Amino acid sequence: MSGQITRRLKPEEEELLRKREELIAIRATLAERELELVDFRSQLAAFEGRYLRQVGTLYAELDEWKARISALQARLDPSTAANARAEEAREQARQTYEEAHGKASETQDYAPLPDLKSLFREVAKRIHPDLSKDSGDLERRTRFMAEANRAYEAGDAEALRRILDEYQDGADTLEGEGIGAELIRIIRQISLGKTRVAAIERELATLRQSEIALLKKQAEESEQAGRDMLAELETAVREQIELAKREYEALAKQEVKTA
Amino acid sequence: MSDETRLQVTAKDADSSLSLSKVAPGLVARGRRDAEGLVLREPTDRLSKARQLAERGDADAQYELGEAYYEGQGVPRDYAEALGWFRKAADQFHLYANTHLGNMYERGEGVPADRAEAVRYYSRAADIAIAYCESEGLRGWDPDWVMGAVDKGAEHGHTEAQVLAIAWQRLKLPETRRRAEEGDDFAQWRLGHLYQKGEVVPQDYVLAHMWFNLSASNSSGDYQGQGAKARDEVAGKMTPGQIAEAQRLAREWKPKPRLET
Repeated sequence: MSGQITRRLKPEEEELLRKREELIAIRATLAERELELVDFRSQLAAFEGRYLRQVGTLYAELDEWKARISALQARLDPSTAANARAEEAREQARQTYEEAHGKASETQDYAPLPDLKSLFREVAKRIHPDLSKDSGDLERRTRFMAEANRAYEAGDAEALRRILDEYQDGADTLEGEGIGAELIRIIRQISLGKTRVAAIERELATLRQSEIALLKKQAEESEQAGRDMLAELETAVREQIELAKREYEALAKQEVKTA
Repeated sequence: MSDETRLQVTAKDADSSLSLSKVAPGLVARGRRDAEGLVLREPTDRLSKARQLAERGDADAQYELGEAYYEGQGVPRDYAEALGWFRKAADQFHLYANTHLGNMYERGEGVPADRAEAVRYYSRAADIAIAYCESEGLRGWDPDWVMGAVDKGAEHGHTEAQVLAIAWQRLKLPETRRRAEEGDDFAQWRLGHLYQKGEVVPQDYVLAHMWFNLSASNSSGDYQGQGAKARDEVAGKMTPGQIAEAQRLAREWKPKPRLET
């Protein structure tokens, strides 16, 4: 370690020590908040996947029947308005299908092991991009951090360990860096770290107000009341599908008669 | 690179691996609306309203609350709670509450099974049903008349009477069977009726035909015509082979000796 600490510390050396400690604390906070964020996102993504598979696909089926009904109605009683309604219903059915069967529906249930959490914390402390020294270092850290996020979401502890091994953190100080330069660098890192913590807080607050988070909250509240919201939604949409089917069949009979 | 650009790089990169809810915004909002409206609010609101009314002594609300506890709808299933509310409603001559209590005592739900207590509630329900059926111009307190009244009510489409008729007949089945086997023409006609309907015993046209036939041939009075009419009606739904079998059973039938009571 350069910047030798002698028994009688100069004021700038004392300041450097204090700032180093502050940076360590910021790193710990940042890692904690970063973990909270990725954890919350993963939970939401998993819940969204479950919701789309269990209920979303049924909404897609319902909209398909509605589109067929509108198309039949337009054939039975053609008019510009009826045609426009049929087209609109068809477009809605297409959109719902895409949403329900898209990539988001593939996210599986989420249950990270405690081991995974502590590994991620370690990774975030060591390689967080906001704690980088220069632009080359920043790019490297950013790349590793993104990989760590993906590994965490996939529940891949092995990958997190590999990232830790591969990422060789350099010395805390750069060669030939004087006390003044190091002090400035650390102060800047602390400031960036604080900015990032604030950004994470804002992002968490936004996420908590997102539709999917509110839906998840409703599900949790219903669970506390001994109920299963997703199952109840499923039943309700199935009933609507049955009604739509019957309406469609009645219309189809009418069409046969008029033909 | 300025500090600001560094931050942007970080924020953008953190987002890129996550697809969250930007993919299905319409569907998630739709689920929220539906969950809000028809899943979570409605039943609990209805229940809390029922509870308010029930506590003020409204018999229908007491019955509704008992049902909710019995079925576990909107509240965890709780037979003891259900019994409490059904009793309150039953004391106010609520027909369904009385039949439901009869069922619970008969099946031993939330209480030890108690046939005598079940009969007591069914009888009370029958009394209420009779009062109900009196609007149809029916009178009388003889047990057979009760059943007649209930049957009449059921025929006239009163759901309460239909529910009651099934519960009552199930309970009376051993007695009806014994009396039919002793040669009582009314009981034979009733048993034929039960086999024809298939609500209390499994539907069996051969047995229905046999009992109707017996009640018609046996009777000197009231049930001769009724039995014959019912027999011919059920014969219309049977194959010649089934009719022959039913006729053979009737020919070979012998009354059991009457029990002293």
